[in-house]
Amino acid sequence: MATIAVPLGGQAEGHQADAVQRPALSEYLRWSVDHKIIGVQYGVASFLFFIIGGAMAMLIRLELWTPELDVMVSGAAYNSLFTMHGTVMIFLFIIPMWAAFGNFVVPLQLGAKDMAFPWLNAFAFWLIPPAAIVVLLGYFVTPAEAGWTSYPPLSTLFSGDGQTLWALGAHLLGISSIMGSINFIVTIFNMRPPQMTLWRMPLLCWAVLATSIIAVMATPFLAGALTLLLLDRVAGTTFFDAAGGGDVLLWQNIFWFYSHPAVYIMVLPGMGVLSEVLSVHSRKPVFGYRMVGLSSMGIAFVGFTVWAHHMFTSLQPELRIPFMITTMIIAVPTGIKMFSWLGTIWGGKIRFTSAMLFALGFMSMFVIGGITGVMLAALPFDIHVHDTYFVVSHFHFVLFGGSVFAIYAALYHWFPKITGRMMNERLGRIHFAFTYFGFLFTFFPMHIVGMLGMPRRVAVYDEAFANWNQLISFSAFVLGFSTFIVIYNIIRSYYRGPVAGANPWRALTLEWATTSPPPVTNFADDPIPFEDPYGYGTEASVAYLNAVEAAFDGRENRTILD
Amino acid sequence: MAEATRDEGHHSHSNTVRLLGREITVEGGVYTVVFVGLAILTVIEVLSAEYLKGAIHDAPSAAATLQAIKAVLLLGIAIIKAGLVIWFYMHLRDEKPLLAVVLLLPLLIATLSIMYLLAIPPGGYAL
Amino acid sequence: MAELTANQLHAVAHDDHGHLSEEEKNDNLKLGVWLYLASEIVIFSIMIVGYILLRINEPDVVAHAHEQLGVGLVTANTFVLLASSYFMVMGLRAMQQGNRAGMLRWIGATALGGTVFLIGQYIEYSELAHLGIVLGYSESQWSTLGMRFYAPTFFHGAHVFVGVIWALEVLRRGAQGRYDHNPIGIEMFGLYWHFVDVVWIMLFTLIYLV
Repeated sequence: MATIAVPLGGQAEGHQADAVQRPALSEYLRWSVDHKIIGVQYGVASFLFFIIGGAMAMLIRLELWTPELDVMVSGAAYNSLFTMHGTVMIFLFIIPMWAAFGNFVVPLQLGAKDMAFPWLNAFAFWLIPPAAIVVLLGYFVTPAEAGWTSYPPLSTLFSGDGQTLWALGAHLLGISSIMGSINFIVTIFNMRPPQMTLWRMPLLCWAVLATSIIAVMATPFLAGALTLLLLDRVAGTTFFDAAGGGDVLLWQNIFWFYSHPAVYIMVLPGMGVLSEVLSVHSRKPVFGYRMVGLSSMGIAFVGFTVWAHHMFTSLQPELRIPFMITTMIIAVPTGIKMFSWLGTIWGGKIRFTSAMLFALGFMSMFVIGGITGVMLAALPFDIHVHDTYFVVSHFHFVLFGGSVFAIYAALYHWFPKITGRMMNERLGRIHFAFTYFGFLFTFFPMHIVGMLGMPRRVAVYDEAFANWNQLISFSAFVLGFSTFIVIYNIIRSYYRGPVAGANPWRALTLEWATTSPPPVTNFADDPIPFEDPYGYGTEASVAYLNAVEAAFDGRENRTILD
Repeated sequence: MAEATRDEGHHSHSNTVRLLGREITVEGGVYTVVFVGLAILTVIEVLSAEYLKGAIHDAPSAAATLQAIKAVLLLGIAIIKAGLVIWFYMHLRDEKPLLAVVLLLPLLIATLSIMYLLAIPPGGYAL
Repeated sequence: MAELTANQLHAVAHDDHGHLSEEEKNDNLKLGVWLYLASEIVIFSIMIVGYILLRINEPDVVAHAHEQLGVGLVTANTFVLLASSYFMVMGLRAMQQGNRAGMLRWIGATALGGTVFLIGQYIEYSELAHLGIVLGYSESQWSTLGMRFYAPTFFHGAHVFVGVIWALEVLRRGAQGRYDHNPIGIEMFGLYWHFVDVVWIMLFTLIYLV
């Protein structure tokens, strides 16, 4: 007979879940120090930027529909368009979007009542709107056109004031990211209740910890580089100008010293989400839990030693091979995760919920992105496809096929906890189908045109690629359309979705052991985690889940699962 | 270098410090001893820098060796000084090992990047 | 199916629901400040690396500047900053011993030390400007040195300036007795101030001596 301790959070016994009030929508528009409100603020704000960045992507694809310059007035206008697309998607969408799920879910999963520094948390969020305004304003003065990587001399001698605003905005976003990450690290180390040991932490917490360590250690490199860039632009220094005794490669080194680890800032939380979603929706323990936790740390560490693979064509030749080797090594911890996911769902009782579909979509797409990553790490191949659409395809497979699919999986998985309502599963499946096939047919053909030699970052291209590009653009519009399905689903489900109850997925992690949405203090007392966060399939876990249900819902669970 | 006696409660509050086998009693205890140490090290640093600068000037044939000795010596002293401040004034000696990791990790990463940046040949790669 | 022998077990209740104890808060704050300082280490390393490159690649320019400037002023300035760090830790010690007046005197001396350091730096910058070493690009032989010298030292000076402001705030709160029971606010400022001192120890050696 198992002895089971049931965590009781939020509502006292006997109260119905319906008694839980959702925060009024106006709460989300003001300063709040509640990590759940801040999480939603991050989420909604970054989704807004996703739409803006997506609209820019649509314009890019519209321009590339024909080989001639037709939509844009000039090549320079096209340059500033993809510059803003990259900047918005990376700095304003993906990174803050993970802060959204991290903020909402991590303290709940730990069983904490709040983050360690609630005020700092709110401040970090409220830096984002002004930073976004500064970056986007730049687009309307003389826009930055040096790409999101902003290599000098493009960003120093050949860009207008928009570049200065770009650098200022990126600086603010970096500060916000550092503050947010410090908060996560302190929360994860210091705010766990006594029973929540490090090795009982859900894997999302491990992933967010690794991500935050990267952000605190790497983002200051960006801050330093941007400071020097601003000095070059404003104060007349020549740090990056060879004519004045400076060094253009200094920027590339420092920038990638930040931005390569930042790639893992963008994808590691997604990997954590995947471990959660795959385990819950296939009712099986995570395969190799400890190794998955440690592989996040491994990726974080090795991620600091690979940056120069972005500079294979500008680096001194002797250093290429060492960076090729480290880059291939980083595929090992990533592979550990991939095989853990396969092992997790293998033989599981898989439920094809929308969250699960997107998680499976992540697995299939990310493995393609990962393999093209190893191909690009191979120096002879890299030199061949350098600066072609093959590279564009690779990083969209990891950033969209990886991060965005994981964001959608997380959205469908935690939406019931955040709002107390279920998302519509039928719309979710339709959304998945459009996204999956739109994505695949947008980005897979880019591998081919890349290998055929179509350069990236051009508005005018050879006639020979015209048919491919029409296929790509058409699929991109389908992909763009799919976003409206999820927006409709979110709004509709928020008002009309079925009531979710505390634990609609019957998951064992602690965020489900309180009402949906959770009360302001999350839990009434320190909750007691189940002995294993992913111990599905045992009698003890069933008893635990039944007890949670009885404690919080006190009635039959009306969800799609029953 | 200096170790406070621990018989008076909090060791940073004792005015008595055991240094090289001798007991020293001074207002401020270990903090004062560390400050005197920092001051002496700074004087040694400046004097040896000035001396070696003269020596390098006088003996151009051995300049490279002397310059290397100078760099290692001065940086060594600087690191000891920084370590004293961190260990005693920032109370690292009383803190959890986690804080030492927080300190060492960025130093490791920064050193890694600086070592690499130093490998850039003068005037860039286009030689 | 497992029998629930203790299915309504509440976890060990805290004395105060949802609120952290003072000790837990202090722990959080200290770890937070250390993490912040960790990120500062990285920024300073980027600021200084340009200077190190110059020192290796163009030793003559640096040697020439050293001869023109001498080390007298900067050594005095270094002593001022070291002393202010000592005053700082003595201020914390005084507060931990319950001596508020002593704390105010020591922290006041810290703020004064920081101010004197900034004045010294201003005098030094004026001398350098007189020699023609300026931040922006110029045709002079010093052009490569100026930006690489001013960027790290001014960035450090800005930190000292922030530190002086913070010290005044600590004095204001300290005078109200806000640290009498829990001097964590002084300790956090102390960590920052000592860190700024440590950075200067390294900058002084790297820029002015080596």
